[in-house]
Amino acid sequence: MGKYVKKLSKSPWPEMVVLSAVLILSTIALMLINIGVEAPPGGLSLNSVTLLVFGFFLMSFVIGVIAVLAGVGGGVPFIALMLAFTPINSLVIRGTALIVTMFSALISTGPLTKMGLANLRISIHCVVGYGIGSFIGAMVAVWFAGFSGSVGEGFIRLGLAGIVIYVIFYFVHAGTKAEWPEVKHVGRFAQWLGVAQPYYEASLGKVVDYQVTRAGWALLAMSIGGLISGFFGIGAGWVLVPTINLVMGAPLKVAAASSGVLMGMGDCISEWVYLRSGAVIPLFAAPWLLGQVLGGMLGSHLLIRVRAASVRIIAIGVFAFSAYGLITKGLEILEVIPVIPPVIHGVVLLFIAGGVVLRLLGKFPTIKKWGGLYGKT
Amino acid sequence: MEKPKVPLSQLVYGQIVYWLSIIAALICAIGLALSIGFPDDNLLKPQYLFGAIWKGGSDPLAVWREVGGGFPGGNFWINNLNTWDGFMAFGFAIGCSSAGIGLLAAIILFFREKPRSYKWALLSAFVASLIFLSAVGIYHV
Repeated sequence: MGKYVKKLSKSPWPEMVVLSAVLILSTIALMLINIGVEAPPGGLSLNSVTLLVFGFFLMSFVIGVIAVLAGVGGGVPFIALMLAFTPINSLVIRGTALIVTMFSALISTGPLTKMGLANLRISIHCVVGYGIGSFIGAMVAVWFAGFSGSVGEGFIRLGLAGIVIYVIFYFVHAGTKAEWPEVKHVGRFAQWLGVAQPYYEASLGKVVDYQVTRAGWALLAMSIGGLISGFFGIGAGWVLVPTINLVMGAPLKVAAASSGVLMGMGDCISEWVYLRSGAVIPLFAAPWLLGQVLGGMLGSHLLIRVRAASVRIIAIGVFAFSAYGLITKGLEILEVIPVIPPVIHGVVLLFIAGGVVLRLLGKFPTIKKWGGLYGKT
Repeated sequence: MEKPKVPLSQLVYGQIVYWLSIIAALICAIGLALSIGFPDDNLLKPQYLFGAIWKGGSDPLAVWREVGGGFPGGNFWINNLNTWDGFMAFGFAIGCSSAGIGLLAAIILFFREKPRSYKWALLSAFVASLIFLSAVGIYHV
């Protein structure tokens, strides 16, 4: 008993308990206070608003847990599902998604920097490119939304579908990565910067002293990642991690941890553009943000116990359905195809869910020609 | 095996960002509950807000016009801290500034570390200035 009390008194449990208590108790209190209060003409009753907000929080919490277990930021599934299956304005969704991504990255900064796994110098160096890129991306997004009308809304969805399909391939291939890249030559710029910083690798039980290189090229790649992140309102971990790992040559764990820290820093620059343009509506954004914060915190603790490969398969299914939804919604808005009846969406969902279940059971057909790509877990 | 010491600048940056984000999230949680509890003390009335959001459309400011009579502009929370949605936006503002504040602390520590890291202090100052310039809206579309 004492062991559990001691464990629960350590960060992040007290924060999680306080935040959850505020949310749950206030929801119960609001439901009780507003019993019998009628809805105003043309509006919702306060009890319906409470339930809606709590529903957003729960959905966001589930997305947050799954996203962390699958190794992807919460922003990508959120934005993909919302743009694909709701008529909400895309700038409002992107502004909300970016604040959600930013908060999950900021919350993860504390433990990652404390453990020494993240390298603040790598993050600061990369955020110079990423921050400028994401700022420009966000400005273009606001400027584009000002005149593009429904045609722009359609193209945004199709563009995001392209990114989601890329993320699916990135997942299927488990990302091209090198756990311990060997840096043979440290460039002059990288040497002058002096970025490298040894850390203790628990799995090896030793201190890993690594070098990094190609610091200039990394800046260029980061600015492209930032541009995409700022424009679409998503975390660009799938660009940042390979850049730090493969271009700069940092160990994979350092790359993953440092990318989280730099995403938090860089998105602080671009999110202001969305906030100042009115794209972030507080009552809509807050429940999504809180769900992601709590879901992300819980997800990072579950990560040690849960089989991440299974969660990845579920995430691939979610992304595949989102990509289908984004393409059809985009084409509907552009009036290329007629409005698709819900029953077709249902059939596609069943088809994808069936594939996920078969894959989880290990009965998904293997294509040998592709090296059994879909047969491995 | 002795673990290498994490530089103080990194440690302090991480802790400042973490706790400011937690405070920001707590402000949002309290603001969220009170904005539904006291619907008249909001810029955007909760009873009408979600219907307007769900309508969608291509204009992001349509929701503000329809429910709140127009977007109050830029950092609207400064003049609207007495409203619950203004209070929540204040929470967002704390979160969006947290990295800048953390970097300011890191700059001081970069100067105090041995050997002193002037270039990292300079780079941190550049990134922090990007955050604060973006916050005050020196750049806008």
